[in-house]
Order: sequence, then structure tokens, then C-alpha cells
Amino acid sequence: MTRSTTGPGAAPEGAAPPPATGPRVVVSGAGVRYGDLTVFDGIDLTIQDREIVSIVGPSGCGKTTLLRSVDGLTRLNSGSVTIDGRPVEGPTPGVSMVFQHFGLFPWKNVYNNVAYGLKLAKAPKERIAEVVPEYIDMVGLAGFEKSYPHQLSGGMQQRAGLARALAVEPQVLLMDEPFSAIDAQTREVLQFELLRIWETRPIAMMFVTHSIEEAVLMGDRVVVLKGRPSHIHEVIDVGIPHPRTRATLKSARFQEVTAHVWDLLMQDVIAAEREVG
Amino acid sequence: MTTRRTGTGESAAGGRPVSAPAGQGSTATEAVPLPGEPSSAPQAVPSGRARRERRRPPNWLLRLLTGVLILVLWDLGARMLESPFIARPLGVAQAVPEVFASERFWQDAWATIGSVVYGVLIGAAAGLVLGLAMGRIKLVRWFFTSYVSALYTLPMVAVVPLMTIWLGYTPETRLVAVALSAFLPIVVTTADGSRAIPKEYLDVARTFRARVHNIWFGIALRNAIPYLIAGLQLAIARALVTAVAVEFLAGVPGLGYSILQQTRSFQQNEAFVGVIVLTLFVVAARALLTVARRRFLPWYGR
Ligand SMILES: Nc1ncnc2c1ncn2[C@@H]1O[C@H](COP(=O)(O)OP(=O)(O)OP(=O)(O)O)[C@@H](O)[C@H]1O
Ligand SMILES: [Mg+2]
Repeated sequence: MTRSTTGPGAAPEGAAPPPATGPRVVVSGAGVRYGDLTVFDGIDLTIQDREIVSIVGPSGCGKTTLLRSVDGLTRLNSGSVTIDGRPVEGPTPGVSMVFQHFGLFPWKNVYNNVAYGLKLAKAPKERIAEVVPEYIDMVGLAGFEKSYPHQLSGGMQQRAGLARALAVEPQVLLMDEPFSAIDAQTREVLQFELLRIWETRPIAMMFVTHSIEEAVLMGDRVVVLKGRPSHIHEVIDVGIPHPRTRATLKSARFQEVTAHVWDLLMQDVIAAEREVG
Repeated sequence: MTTRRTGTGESAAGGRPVSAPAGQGSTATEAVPLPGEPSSAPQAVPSGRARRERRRPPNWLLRLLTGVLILVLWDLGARMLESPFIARPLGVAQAVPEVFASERFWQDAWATIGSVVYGVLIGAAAGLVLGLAMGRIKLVRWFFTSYVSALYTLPMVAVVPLMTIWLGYTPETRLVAVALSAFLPIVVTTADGSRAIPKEYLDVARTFRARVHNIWFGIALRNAIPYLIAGLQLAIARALVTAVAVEFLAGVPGLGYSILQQTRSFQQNEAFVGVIVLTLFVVAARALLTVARRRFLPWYGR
């Protein structure tokens, strides 16, 4: 993985961010079983600080399960996950998750949904009052603080979900198909906004998606899961420096990596078709 | 850095926030809305324009006409039977001023309605506690479920004579019976509501390391509110039935008892005024709940 996190325009005003501190998340020999079904086994994966790792794989291969076990929501049957060297035994401070289903509470307005994590962490009132508007603004929801989720479009709901995850200022951000329930145009807008946000405060990110383009656009590396039980089939170094823009989508390197991931995933689909046919 | 809500796609997605004024969407229904699975999926919100374009039929007019029609049929029927003992709309209307002027009537009305109000409050408070516990604690659920559902199907009227043995022919008997009959539907609905928390909410809560009390009072209880309101709609109707039944069976003074007395002394018009007042009370109480639900739970359908 060779890349520069401080491309032009990425340097935030004020104090420079603390330097990258090596591995944040270490998954080693991880396996999860549900009864007779072994979802995955022997997964080894290290996510560095300030690194975005995309995870792709066929439906049901255990992407969500893997993310949930890093988040401490699902227990591993074998192997381990550590965050900053400490084994994960349950939801860990400093780890946030953005859900495919947004997971906003319908009875809370945007402000209170975004403040949820801080309130549970018993952050002081002044701090909540300072931080929450900042993140609402960052995701482009300024002016919608008092709106309720049912009054917002899917894209805006996920902006709120993102602000909620970021407001606790996590070191690790887990995203499970965050944009898959959102229309294509809004999705693209949100992808680049997320990249811009990440550039101002680069943290470790695991990004699960079904979209190969999204995986390559977001990821510094792309992890391809395959097989039954699934395992890491290949890890691709994307090798496109940040900041990434719409021009990235047209670059030769982007096309090349996308085509490669596409091939890896299609092999199975084609094989499966042959079996059926 | 802050990209404002000018996401090119967002407006195309119909993402304009709609300031949905609560409770403007439809008209009052007396039917008990039983809560289904509350969905956390993003729901289509009718845009402001669509809302305005939807012409509302003048429901109140239809209802008024239906009411007039019923009164006319009632009057015609009574005329045809030619019985002096059948109340007729005009006779009932004429009895209203006299009945309303009597202090006794209002005392009776308050005795009955007051017992329903207090009984439902007591029953609901207790039902909420047990319902929440049954919804969240497996052991409590196992222990109580069969008893609660057995009692739920039991008509409270059947135990009123027994209650009079313990509590006498007193207003307390009425209050206890009313509270019990309100308690059960609240337990059942609250237990459902606090148990059926969408998994997504629990995932979010756990990710942010919510404690048990955060889940109980921050999520389970909130999630149970629409169920609780549906339970209250049932409870009020059941409670009134019980209150009147106790008055009939145990001779406890109240509007129900007066209705019985007046009917026995052929004051059927006066009795009818009492019936109407009780009906109006239930209708008003349930309409109030519907309004409250729309006002405080605007995301929860109609
Ligand atoms: N709680 C559970 N109990 C039993 N089986 C489960 C459970 N959670 C997941 N599974 C199974 O584990 C497998 C992996 O599920 P998972 O949701 O992680 O897949 P995924 O890669 O995220 O799929 P998708 O791309 O469709 O989101 C599936 O076969 C699923 O049925
Ligand atoms: Mg998944």
C-alpha cells in the first residue's frame, strides 16, 4: 500500500492531523458459524490508520457479518479482532457504524439522532451543543436539525446516519452498503462528499458495497471475498492517490482495477451459470 | 468543505423535506388502529404539491347526512310501532334541557366518567409496567403470558359479583373493575410493542454502547407508544362497559345506574340522554387519542 494521504487540498486548516499510527484493526483467523453454515473462515485482514478498505463479494458471503464482528455486534467462533491492539469483545468506543438501513430513530429529529452517540457516551452538554451542529453542517444537513426522518429523502437520512457515526469522532468507521438504498445520482454525490469528509479527518474505514465502481473509488485497497465458506480471495491495491474526484472515475487506473475486480467476481457467476445451464 | 444540500441528485429524488403538519392527512376514524410492524424503511412522503392536490371529500357532510338518516328511520320506526314506551328523537331532544339542568345527572355522569378516567389511568400505568417487563424480560413473559391472555378474554362482568363480596356495593368496586379491564389490553399491546423493536434500532443502540435502561426507556418504551395508544383505545371502550355493568349489577350510583332506573320507570327519553352522553364521551376520548397519535407520532401512518 503506497499512497499519500495528504494530496493537494486535503490539508485541513489549523493543526495538522496526528500522524498515522499503524494498524488500527487487525482481523486474524476470523471465522463465524451459524449452526451448520460456516459463513467465513480464516479471514486475515489489517486496516491501517487513515486507510479505506473496500469489501466486495457475492450476496451472502458474509460481508455484513464481518463488519458486525469488527463492530462487536456479532461474536466470532474462531480467530480474533483487535482494535488498537485490544481484542474486541463487544461494541468498542472509537468504532462507529453506518447502516444500510440508516437506523435513524423516527421519534428523534435530525439533531437528536446525530447527538445519540454522544449522549450515550455521556458527553458534556456544551460539547454536544458544539459538535452536533458541526457534523450536521458537514454532511450538508444544516437547516434540517428539527426535521424528523420521515420528512427526509433517503439520501438525507443517510447523511444524518453518517453525521451520527462521525459525531462521536471515531477512529474506525464501518460502513455497510451505506448508499445502496439511495438513487444513483444522490449516491454519487454522497460518495464524493464522504471522500471530502474523510480527507479533512482521515480515519480507518471499512466500506462494504455491492458496487465495484464504488469499492474502487472509495478504497485504498479492495478485498474480494469468495467461496463457501468464504475467504479472502484477493486484495487489490487500488493505487490511486487522494483526493479522488469525478476525474478519477475516468482514469485508466480506475478502469483497470474495476475491470480486474469485475473479472474476479464474474468468474463465479459464469461458473454458476454453466452449472445451471 | 461543507457541501450544502444542493446534491444534484437529491432534488431529483423528490427529496424536498415536507413539513408534514401532523394530523392533516385524513379524517378521524373511530376504528381502533392496531399497530403493525413499524417499518424503519424510508417511507415515501407525499410531496407538498401532491398533498394539496388531493381533494378531500367532505366527510363531515356524509357523516351528518348518515346521522340525519338514522334519526329519520328511528322516528319512522317508532311511529309505526305506535308504542308510547319507545323513545323518539324529538322526545329525547326535548328531554335534554331538563336532564342537563339537573344536578343529579351531572353528579352521575361524573361518577361514571370519572371512574373510567381514573380507572384507565391506574390500569394503564400498571399495564405499562407489566407490559414493558413482559416485552423485555423473557422470564416475565413466560410467566405471565398465559395468565394475561386468559384474563384478557374473560369478560370482566363475570367477576363483578365476586368483587362485590370483597369490596362491597361501592364505587371502589367499580374503580377496581374498571382499572382491571383497562389494565389487560394495555399489558397485551405494550408487551407487543416493547418486544417488537426493529432489530435496526437495537443494532444502533448497541453500536453506541447503550445500557439496558437506555434500551428500555429510550427505545422499547418509545417503540411501544403507538401500541399503547391502540391499547388505550380498546381500554376506554372496555372500561366504560365495565363501569356501566358494575352499576347495573351492584347498584353503584352513576349514569349507568340512572339509565337502568329511568328505563324501569318509563323515562326512556331521559335514559336515552344518558346513553348519548356516555357515547359522546367514548367517541371524544378516542378521537383525542387519535389526534394525539397524529400529533406526536406523525411518522406512524394514519
Ligand atoms: N443471525 C444469523 N443467523 C443465522 N444465519 C445468519 C445470521 N446472520 C447472517 N446469517 C447468514 O450468514 C450468511 C452471511 O450473511 P451476511 O449478511 O453477512 O452476508 P452479506 O455478504 O452481507 O450479504 P449481502 O450482500 O446480501 O448483504 C448468510 O448466508 C446469512 O443467511
Ligand atoms: Mg450485507
